[in-house]
Parts: sequence; structure tokens; C-alpha cells
Amino acid sequence: MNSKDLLGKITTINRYITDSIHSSEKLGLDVFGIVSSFEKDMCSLIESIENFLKIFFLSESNDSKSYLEELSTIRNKIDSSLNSLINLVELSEDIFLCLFGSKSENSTIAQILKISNEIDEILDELSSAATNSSITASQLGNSGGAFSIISKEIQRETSQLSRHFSKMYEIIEENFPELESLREHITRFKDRERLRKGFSDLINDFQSIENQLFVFKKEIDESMDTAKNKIPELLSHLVNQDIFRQQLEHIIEFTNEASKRIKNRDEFKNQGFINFVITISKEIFDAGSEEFLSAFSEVDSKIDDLTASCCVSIKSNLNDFGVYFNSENEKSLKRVTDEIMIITIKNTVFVQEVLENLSSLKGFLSDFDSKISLLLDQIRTSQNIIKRFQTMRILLKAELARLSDILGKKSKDSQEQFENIINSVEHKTKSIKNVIDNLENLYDKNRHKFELYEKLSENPLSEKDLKDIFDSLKKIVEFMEKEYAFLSKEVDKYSSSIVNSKESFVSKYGEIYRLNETTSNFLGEIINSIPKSNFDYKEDEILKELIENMTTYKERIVAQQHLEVEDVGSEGGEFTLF
Amino acid sequence: MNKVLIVEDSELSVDILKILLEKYGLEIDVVENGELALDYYKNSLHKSDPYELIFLDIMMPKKDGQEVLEEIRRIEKTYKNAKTKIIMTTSLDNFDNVYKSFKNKCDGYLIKPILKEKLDLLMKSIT
Repeated sequence: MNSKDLLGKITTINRYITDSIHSSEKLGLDVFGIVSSFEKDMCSLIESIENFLKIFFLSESNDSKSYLEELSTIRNKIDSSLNSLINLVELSEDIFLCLFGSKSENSTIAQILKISNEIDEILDELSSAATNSSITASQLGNSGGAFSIISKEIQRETSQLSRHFSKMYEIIEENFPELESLREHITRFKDRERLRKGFSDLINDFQSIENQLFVFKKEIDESMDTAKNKIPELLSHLVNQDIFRQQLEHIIEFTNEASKRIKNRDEFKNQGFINFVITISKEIFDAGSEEFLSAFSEVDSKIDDLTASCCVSIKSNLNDFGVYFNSENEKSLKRVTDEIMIITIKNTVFVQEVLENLSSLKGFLSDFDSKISLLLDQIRTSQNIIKRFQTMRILLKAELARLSDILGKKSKDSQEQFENIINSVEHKTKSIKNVIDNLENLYDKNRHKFELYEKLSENPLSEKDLKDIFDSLKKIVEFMEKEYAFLSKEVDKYSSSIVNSKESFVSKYGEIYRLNETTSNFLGEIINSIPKSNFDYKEDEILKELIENMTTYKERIVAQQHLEVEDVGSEGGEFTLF
Repeated sequence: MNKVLIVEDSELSVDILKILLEKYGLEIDVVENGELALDYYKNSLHKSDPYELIFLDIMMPKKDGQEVLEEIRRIEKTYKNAKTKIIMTTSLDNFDNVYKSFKNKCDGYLIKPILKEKLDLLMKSIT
């Protein structure tokens, strides 16, 4: 090969090497750019996710509430209302049991009514006995005068007594609740367990959204941390680009020296130097290229890791979380919010009905003392009348004894009849008093329950409050659906940006690979075209200087194979030449 | 539960509901407005064969679902033992409509698109 051709080839080598330097520098800068933009995108993504999560967890101002705060308000409000109502109904049952007994036919009120009915019947008997006595007395003429007066007095007192018992009946009818109707409503409310369960299930659904949110946030944080930790490791590989550049610059120094010597006719005669320089350049180039490509292949897989741990993981978490924003899904925020609203309204309306129907019990209990007093007044007056009956009984007994000769057996029968009826009235009145006293005692004992009942029966659910809560909750859900759609788009945007950068990297890496292969082959061709000749490198000061400039570990290893090297050192360490 | 009336002006919604109800093997009549719904309802009462369940849309021509619900509950008071279960089927998901429906004594409220799970749950609870 003549000097001109060789010079041309060395110029070509220099051009290839320079291209490799530029391409590798460009690739290094690209990777740096990818990482920077990835970090920037990640910051934006983290910001978007944090903003999204803030709507769940944090309120924007003092006036507004976060989604979870709204939910918690609803849950507490409904739960406490439901508890109040359940307590109220249970207390109603309790009051029913203690005041009226377990069955309506044995209830205190029923007992009072039953006894007063019985008394009424007895009083009818007494009245007709007195009427009969009056008739008998009138038939006796003058001798029956006193008997007639007593009979009429009994008649008069009996009708008075009858009026008092009718009054008692009226008081009960007017003031005491219709037990059967109340009992029916209390029984209907037994269904509360189903309502409560339905509500609890929905609240659990919400709880699972809350829990999922925490998981989502935790996994995103972990993905971000993993990604962040991978970045320094990824960047550490970029040093290989600098090492490769140094190696290529040393090759250029070699080829420049070779060109200089080719141009000098004397030196061109000794092609051993040129062969040596190109051979060592090729070896350095191949080793450097291999190291560089392997390092950047590592970069490639690190970018994949980064994409997987960050974008793929975030996207997958976001997609999993997406079920809560798809109204076709029964677990979606919208569906669950709607269901909670429906079941809350259903409860509220039901509760209002129960309260309306229990209002008679509330009215009954609110003035219980005075109602008992009214009954006891009637009883006391009745007992005073009955005391007068005792006097009349003695008078009647004496008068009937006086008339026994005239009346015969009828006198004894009448006396017994009056005795029995008056005893019976007395006995029944005592019983009715006992029942009412018992009712009064029970009331005193359970006064605290009645007071609690008063307190609980305040309307536990306000329609307006609930409407305000649900309206604002719905607004938050709509807002969150929009935010989620925005976040999904952002994640898609950043993911595709990373994917595009990665594709660009792969393409540039391929170009360098092919360029390096061409350069290496070209160097090989030149070596084969230059004859080998004896060359004493120890005498070549310039070569010695050039080799001393070789600072990378791979270059030193190559140098060791051709020259006497005392110590190649260690990778990244120092070495001593010759 | 056997005799059912669907009151719905959207053919698509009727088809979806029919598919969802298929497994219950019901005898289903369909009308497209509130006035017809009341005619059908009254007619079934006169024949002493009242509907056991009515799916009632709210937004409909002539007479809306809330009016129909109110009217049916009013009529029921004059007929002993006439108690038809009524489920509102609507896309209206605001508080006021739900509240009004329950005040008028509907038995359930389904928001469109109706989900199979929700319908099945409701059918189970009212039958």
C-alpha cells in the first residue's frame, strides 16, 4: 500500500473514531436527558397524584370538607341517628313492658278498663237492687218509709259512683295510647336490623375505598422510591461514555502520529510502527467498544426497570383504583354514594313514620303524673262514696231486720244481695286503686327512662342537613371523577414520553453498535494490508509518551499484551509503565 | 311474585330490564307513559288481579312517575288488601327525587343504568 492510500485510510479511521466519540457523547447526553425528563415527569406525576389524594384526605379550606371528612360526617350522623332511634324504640318496648305488661290483654291499662267494666256491671246490679227495694218499700206503705229512703239513697250514690267510673274510663280512653297500634309500629321497626345491616354493608364498601386509597398511596410512594433509587445507579453507567471517549481520543493521538510518520518518507519505510499503532488501536477500540456497549446495554435494562417500577406499577395501581370511578361498577364512588343516599333517605322516611306513630306514647308519657292524679282523684271520690255505703249497709240491715216479719225470706235475701254487691264494689275499687298505685310506682321507678325517651324522641335525622351533606358529597364525587380522568391522562402522557425516549435510546444505541462494528472491521482491514516488521518500541520516545497517556484500565491491559508493563494496577487505579 | 308492570318510555331500558328479570319468570306488561300506567293499574284492580310489582320510571311523558306513585298509593287506600310493590327506575339521582319517592311510599329506588346485583338484592328484599 502506498503512503497516499494509507494516509487516506487513516483519515477515514479518524473520521469513524470522531463519529463514535460524537455518537457516544450524544447517547450519554440522551440518557442524561431521559433521566432528567423522567425525574421531571415523575415530580409532575407525584404532584398530580398528591393533588388527587388531597381531595380524599384534606379539605381545601376551612369551609369545605375533604371526601373522607364528608363521609365520616355522614357515617357519624347516620350512625348516631340510627342508634338514637334504636334506643328510642327499645326504650318504648321497655316502657311498654314495665308499664303495661308483656301482653296487651294483661296490661295495666287493660286491667283498669276491665275492672272498671266489672264495677260498672256490679253498679248496674246495685242500682237495680236499690230500685227493687224502692218498689218493695212503696208496697209496704207507711211501714216501708225508712226502707224507701235508704233504697233511694243507695240508688243516688250508685249513680254517682257510676259517673266516677265512667269518668275514669274517659280519662284512660282520652289520654292513654292505643297499645295495639303502638305495639305494631314497634314490631315493624324490628326490621331495623336489616336496614342497619344494609347501611353497614355500604359503609364497609366505603371503608374498603378508604383502605384501597391508603394501599394505592403506599404503592405509588413505593414505586416512586424504587424509581428514585434506580436513577443514581443508572447515571453511574454514564461514566463509561467518558472512558470510551478518552480511549478514542488516545487512538486519534496514535493515528495522528502514524499520519505524521507516513508523510515523512524515511519513517514510512518502517511500517512496523504503523502496524503496531493500528493493531493496538484496534484492540483498544474493540475492548473499549465492548465495555461501552455493555455498560449502555445495562443502561437500557435499567431504563426498563425504571419504566416497570414506576410507570407500569403506577398505571396498574391507577387502573385497579379506576373501578371506583366507573359508575358501571357497583363499587364505584358514585354508586356507593347513591346507595348510601337511598338507604339513608329510606331510613329517614321510615324513622319519621315511626316517630309520628310513637308521638302518642310521647304525649302520654309527657304528662304522666297529672293523668295518674286524675285517675286517683276519681278513685278517692269513689272510695268516699263506698264508705258511705258502709253506713247505709248498717242502716239497711237494721231496717230489713225490722221488716223481716212482713217481708219474710225476701228480707234476708235482699240483705245478702246488698252485702254482696257492696263488698264486691269495695273490693273491685281497692283492686283498681292498687293497679293505679302500682302504675304510679312503676312510673316513679322508671322516671329516668321517660326523661331519656323525651330526649331521644327529638327528631334524630334532619332532612335539610342530610340533603346538604349528600349534595356536597355528590359534588365531590363528580369532581373526583374528573380529577381521576385527568390523572389517568397525565400518567398516559408521562408513560408515553418515557417509552418514546426509550425507543430513541434503542435506535441510537443500534447506530453506535453498527458504527463501532464498521470501525473495528476497517481497522482490521488496514492491519492486514500493512506488513509486519521489527519495531523496537523501547527506542521510540514518542510512542512511549503516547502510551504513558493511556489512563484507562482496558488500555493498560491491551498495552500489557504488547509492551513490558510493570503493573497494570486495578480498574480505576494507577499503573506504572515500563 | 308473578304479575309485573314496567312503566318506561325508553325501549332500550325496557329491553335491559326484561333481560335482567328473565330469570324470575314473570308475566310482564309494558306501558310507555304515566297515564297508561294508571289505566293498566286500575284495570287490574277491577279485574281483582292487581299488579304485584311495578317498575316505574320518573321522567315520562303525560304523567311523571312521582304523580303515578302518589295516585296509586291514594287508590290503594280505597281498596282493601291492594298493596303493590313499586320500584322507581330512573336516572335521577338527586336527593329530592329519592326523598319524594320514599315519602310517597315507593319500595325501592334503582338508578340507571340498572345493575344486576342491585336489582337482585332489591327483588330479594321485597319478595
